[in-house]
Amino acid sequence: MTAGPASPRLVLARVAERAVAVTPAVAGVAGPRGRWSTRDGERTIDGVVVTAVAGDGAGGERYEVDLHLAVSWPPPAFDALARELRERIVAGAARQGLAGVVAAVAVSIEDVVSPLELARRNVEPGRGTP
Amino acid sequence: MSLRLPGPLAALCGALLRAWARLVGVGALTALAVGGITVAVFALGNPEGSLGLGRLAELLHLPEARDWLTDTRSALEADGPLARVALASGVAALVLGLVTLVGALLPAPRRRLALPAAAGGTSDHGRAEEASKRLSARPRAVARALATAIARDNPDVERVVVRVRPRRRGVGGRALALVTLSPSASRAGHELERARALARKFEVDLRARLKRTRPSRARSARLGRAERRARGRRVTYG
Repeated sequence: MTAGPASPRLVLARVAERAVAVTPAVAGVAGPRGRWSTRDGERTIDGVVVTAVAGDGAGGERYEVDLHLAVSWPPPAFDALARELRERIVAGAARQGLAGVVAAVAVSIEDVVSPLELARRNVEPGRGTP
Repeated sequence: MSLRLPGPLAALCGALLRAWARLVGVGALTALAVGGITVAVFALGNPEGSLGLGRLAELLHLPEARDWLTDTRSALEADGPLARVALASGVAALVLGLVTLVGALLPAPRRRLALPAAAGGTSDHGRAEEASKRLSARPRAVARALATAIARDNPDVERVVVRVRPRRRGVGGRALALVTLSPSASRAGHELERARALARKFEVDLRARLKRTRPSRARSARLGRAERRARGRRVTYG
């Protein structure tokens, strides 16, 4: 863990990580050379990229959360999955005192793998390079 | 007045026009490249010799061009505005060539398959709702899922190659599955239906081409059906 208060970007990345972890049949994918991961002190959060976007002029930064995921076979209904993830992230952000900062949540399905492979990826984060 | 063609004819016309445009583009670029190389090679030679620009003009039956080249060369060799223009043109040509080379060598961004978004955004900000509904998939992941749907639990499928092409605009895309069945295969329809059902989830139009491997008597005698199953099925994704 990092010393001092975490930035809103990092807090959102952690919230997104938790949202992915509690959602069944999905895992974060680090991408080629860890392109889709966020550094959190000594570790990385795979499959989560949080980017600050232009504000609405009312003050305060807003963030876009990109999720890069592997889903297990058989593939779930993606729209429902995306909706579930977005709701969890928005609710999690609000719990962390970051209500209103989530500008958008984009979900990208990077891989469809067997449940066994998905479990292995969840145990060994960082393996998810497609 | 608008001319409306029936669907298949419009698609065929579109494909032909695209192919023609590509052919013309490639042909024009090839002609330009050959012409450029020819001029460059002749420009390297002695202007008065057998491999000079004057000789090239002669070969092309362009006596006016030869005279113009002689005058221009003389003007270029002398210090003056034409020499400066020539220098600037040379530098500009170099820069343009480098820019073109970089553009040609840059990898094209891989298109992603846009998936139908969930109804009703869940963003906490109304204006960002459209952005918040962004849902996409890597074509390779979709191809893998479709190939698995076709080959899974079907020992008669020996090989599956699936290619997915996302639409340039809008959601979904097209997929082509090349399925190789064993000689003794009796069924594949159920698996294809399963794959089509999955493809509909991705808004992908799935077409399948079935092929049977040729039965080889010697091979069939050597390898029983059960043994062939044990050898495993090869599934590739594209």
